[in-house]
Amino acid sequence: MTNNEVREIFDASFSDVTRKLVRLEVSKVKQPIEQDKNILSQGVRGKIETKGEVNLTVICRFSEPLFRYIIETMHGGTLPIEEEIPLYLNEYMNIICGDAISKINNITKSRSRLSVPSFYGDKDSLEILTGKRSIFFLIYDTEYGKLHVGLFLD
Amino acid sequence: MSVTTILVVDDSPFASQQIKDVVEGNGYEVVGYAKNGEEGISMYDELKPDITILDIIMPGIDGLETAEIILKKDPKARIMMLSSLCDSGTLEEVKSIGLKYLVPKPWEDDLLLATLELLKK
Repeated sequence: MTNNEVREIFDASFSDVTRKLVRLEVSKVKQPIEQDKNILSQGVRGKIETKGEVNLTVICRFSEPLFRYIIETMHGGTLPIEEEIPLYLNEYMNIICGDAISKINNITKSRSRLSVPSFYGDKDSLEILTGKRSIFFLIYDTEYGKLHVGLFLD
Repeated sequence: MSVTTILVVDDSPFASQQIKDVVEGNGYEVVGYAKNGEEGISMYDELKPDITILDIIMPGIDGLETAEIILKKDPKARIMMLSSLCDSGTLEEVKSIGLKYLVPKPWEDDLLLATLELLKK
């Protein structure tokens, strides 16, 4: 499977699962890559890794209104208690990336596995993996601001 | 009519709440939530639920290992696995430990209820 095919599968999962899970349309936009690398080092972010046939790190950066919208929608219209907020965002990423990796596993007849996602708040530092073999970005516009997704492939 | 008791083992409060919303009022009662496998094993011993719903991807010991430990103690345990990872390889892993049911996240409510009905039989 080519890296472009992996990117297309993740792109479809971000669109389809976000619509299904939190009833939100996302539309893909294009931006210069350098700007996107920087944006992943700040703000509310989530990270999840895959191991196996596809070794990949996915980092998402959510605009503040988008982050609040996702959490509130998943929690039935209100914000959960503070210590549970990361768990909701982690589940959002787990479901999207699980959908994508399941499709990849079925196509390649392989068994890549997902890590437990990690949450990074505004002040948490997160190493951006510039040494990876291939880096792709997916950037989405929503009515609640942008979702930046970095796909870092080994 | 007797109520079927359920233990949910999932680190996601979103999934746990969704399950409660779907099953209660349909002949089931969620009697406990565990946030990880270790907690799930000890709550299983304590609560002896009719059905256990286990997420696969969790911190610490994962859902498959948790299911194996519960089945070793109680080979008649009725367990349904949940996962965002729902490919044929994962289904094979579920079957290899003697379980039949793997429900994908996000699930359709009808599918969740139908799977619970199959487990009850």
